[in-house]
Amino acid sequence: MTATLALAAALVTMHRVPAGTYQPLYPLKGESTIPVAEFLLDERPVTNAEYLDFVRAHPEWLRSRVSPLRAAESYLSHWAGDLELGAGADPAQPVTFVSWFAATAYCRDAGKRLPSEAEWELAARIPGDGPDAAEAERKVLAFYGRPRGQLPRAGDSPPSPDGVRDLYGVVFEWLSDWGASVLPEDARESGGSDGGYCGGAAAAAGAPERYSAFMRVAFRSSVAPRDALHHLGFRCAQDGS
Amino acid sequence: MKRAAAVLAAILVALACGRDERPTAPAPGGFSLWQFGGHWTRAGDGELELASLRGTPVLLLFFYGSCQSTCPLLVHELRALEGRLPVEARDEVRFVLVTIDPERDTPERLAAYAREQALDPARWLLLRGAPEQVRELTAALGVRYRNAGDQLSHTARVFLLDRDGVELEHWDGTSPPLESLARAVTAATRRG
Repeated sequence: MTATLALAAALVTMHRVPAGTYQPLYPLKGESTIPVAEFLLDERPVTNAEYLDFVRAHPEWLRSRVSPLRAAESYLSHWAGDLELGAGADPAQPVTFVSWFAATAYCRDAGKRLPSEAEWELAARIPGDGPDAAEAERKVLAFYGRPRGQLPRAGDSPPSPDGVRDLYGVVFEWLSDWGASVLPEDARESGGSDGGYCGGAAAAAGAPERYSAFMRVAFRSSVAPRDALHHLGFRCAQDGS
Repeated sequence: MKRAAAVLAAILVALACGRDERPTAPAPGGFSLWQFGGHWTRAGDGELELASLRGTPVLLLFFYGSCQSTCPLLVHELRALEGRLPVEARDEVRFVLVTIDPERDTPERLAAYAREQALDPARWLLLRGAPEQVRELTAALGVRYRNAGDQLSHTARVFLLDRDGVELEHWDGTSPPLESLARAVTAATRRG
C-alpha cells in the first residue's frame, strides 16, 4: 500500500517557485511584507485517485472512521464508499470534501507539507499592473463569481510562469497557516473576541486593487479546519533547499 | 473603482462577520483534544504527550513569552482565579499555557517566564511544540493566530477542558468573568 502511495505521490511534478515577498492584505502593526524563501510546489492539486491511495494506507482517514474532531460529516461525501470513488468523483479530478486536518496529514505522509498563504499567493501572483494583469484579474474574479459545476481534471489548465497549474479556476486550496489570514489588526487591543476585527479590518487593509486576493482571504477566513467542502482541495509543497 | 472597492469591502466585512454567527467552537462536543499527538516540551525540562493530561481538568491558554499586554493580563487573571478556587479544585486543575511562538520561547525562556510570573510548577504547565503541532491544536479549537516574526496576533480565549480533554466552555477577551470561571472549574473538578 505504501508503495502505491509513494508511486502516486512521485507522479506529481514539483516546480521551483523563486524567493520573493508577499504583502499581507491585513498587515499587523509594523508589518509590511513577508519574505518567502524559494520552495517547491506541486504542479497541480491532489487527485481523488491519489487520495484514495492515501486512505487505503491510512484507514484512520476512511470516511467511516475519521475522527469528527478532524473532519466534518461532509468529508468525502461525494465518494460512493470508503474505498470507492463512484460516479460522483473522477479519479483525475482534484479531491475535495477534505478537511484541513486531512490535507495536512496527506502532505505530511508524502514527506511534504501544505504551502503557507504567503507561498501560495507568491506562486499565484499576477505580475505587473498593465492591461494583461487587469485582464488576468478579471478572469479570476469571473471564476470566483460563477457557480461551480463539474470540476475539471487536475492539471489541465495552462501553467504559471513557474510551471504550476490550476492555481485559478479549479478549486480553492487549504494552506498550512489556517487562521492567519484575517485577524484583528492588533488582537492585544481588540478585547480579544474573534469578532473584534469586524469593522476596522477592511479599512486597515492595504492594496484594495487586489480584488481576487481579497476574495480568497474572505473565503479562507470563512472556513473552519474541520470543514469539508465542494471546490476546496489542496496541493503540497516542500522547502526549496 | 473606488465604489467597487467599497462594495467589495462591505462584502468582505459581511463574510468575515458572518462567520461569527456560526458556532464559535469548530470542534464538536464530546471529542478529546488529547488525540493530537506529538511530543511537547515542558518549560525547564522534560517532554510530555498531551494524552498524559487525561484525568485532570485543564484550563488552556495560548500565549507567547514576549507578549506585552494580552498574555500578561490573561495570565494575571488566571492567577487571580487560582487564588479564588476552593482548595480541592485548585489542587486538581492544571493551568496549561501553550506558546504560539515556539521559535523564541525556548524551554529556558518559558521557565524564566514561569518564574517571573510566579507560576506554581505544581499547577502550571508551560508547553512548547513544533510549529505544525501548535497550528493543529489551535485549529482544532478555532484559535487564529499569525506569527509575523516580531509581531504576533492571536485570539484571546481561555478554554476549560474536562478530564478527558473535551472542551466544556471557553471565554473570550482579556478579562474573563472570574466568578463564572471559578464555578465552572470547580464543577469540572467535582465531576467524576
